[in-house]
Amino acid sequence: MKIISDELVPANSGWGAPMQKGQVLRLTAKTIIDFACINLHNNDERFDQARTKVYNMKLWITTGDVLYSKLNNPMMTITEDQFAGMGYHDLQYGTCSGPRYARAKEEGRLNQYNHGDDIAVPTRGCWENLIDGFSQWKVPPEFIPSPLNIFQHVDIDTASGEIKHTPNRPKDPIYVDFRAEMDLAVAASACPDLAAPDFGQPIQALIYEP
Amino acid sequence: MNVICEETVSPQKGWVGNVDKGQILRITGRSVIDFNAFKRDDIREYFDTARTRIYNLNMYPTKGHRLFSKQNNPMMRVLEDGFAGIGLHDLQSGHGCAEGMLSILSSLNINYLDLPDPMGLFRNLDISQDGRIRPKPKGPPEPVAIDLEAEINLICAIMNCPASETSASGADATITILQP
Repeated sequence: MKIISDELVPANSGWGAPMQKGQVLRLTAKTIIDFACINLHNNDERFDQARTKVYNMKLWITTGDVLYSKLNNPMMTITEDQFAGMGYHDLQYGTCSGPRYARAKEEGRLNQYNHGDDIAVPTRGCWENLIDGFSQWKVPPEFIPSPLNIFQHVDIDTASGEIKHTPNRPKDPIYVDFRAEMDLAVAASACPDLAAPDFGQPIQALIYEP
Repeated sequence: MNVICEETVSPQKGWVGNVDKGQILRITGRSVIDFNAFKRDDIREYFDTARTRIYNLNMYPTKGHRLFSKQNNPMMRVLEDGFAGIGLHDLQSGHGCAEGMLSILSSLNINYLDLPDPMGLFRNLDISQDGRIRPKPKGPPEPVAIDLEAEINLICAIMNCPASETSASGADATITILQP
């Protein structure tokens, strides 16, 4: 394995990098990582939650599943998922953000998001972090893709549609490997993760050639 | 309530129009209808499926829910849902008829890659508890209506999809704007 780059991303901040087709991104953490990618050569072609769910024909993706763009092109394949058997990654959420935390607090709904009622809310979250992560590619805020929310295990009652936050996270840092199927710009947010037992932690972003 | 406008939308046709704050957009149909909404003052603020799911903490939009923008602001409120008990509207699939939606939104100058995912009215997916998604070919037997109250001034658009997966593909839809 040849390491291309290896970075520690502080809690509640963003990271981004270019990567070449065939390289592998390993994201390691014990709390939520919001993750998205765009085509390096056509920045308007972005990761798409809906296409990803419909092409895999499922709500949750894991080893062997593919992340798709809005143009229906394969962007990345999950080659290893250490969270399998412990929980699911999420494709329902958008991103947390300063405005979303502020609204939840104002409406007295922090507890519904498993945050506790009295907590001081961050002024930024994954939306702002992904904007930072993609800053060299200047993705407009309204076009930051709704991400793949790694390690965000959510209970969904598929009959009623009810979505429930859970504190189910990895006990120790574990990783998910994504192989690039095209040249990409990738971005990740170390989520403030107010629902995690110790809140959001730093994450590690490693790119390697297998 | 005063009827401001009423239009029949044929299969594979669309409709775009203004809905003012406080007005109610009633969409009546029995086959799949894709729905998008934009803030009239700034179309970079648009209806967002993910924000809507998480604001309501539910995958299936229905009576009592609100439709949210990507900027986390309320856009519309679901006042009535005649599909409740028959089937579930969809916030998972993305567009069933993107080209049609783009053509009716041509005045907004949106390209395909920036077209926001719609709410798929009467698109009755079968999602099993282990997360597998399958189309469920069952629309309402007779036309039913969903009433959406605008919380801000909006541009709304619908596309009456040529959805082959519902038993009722090819049914007319009706758009009614009501002033309470």
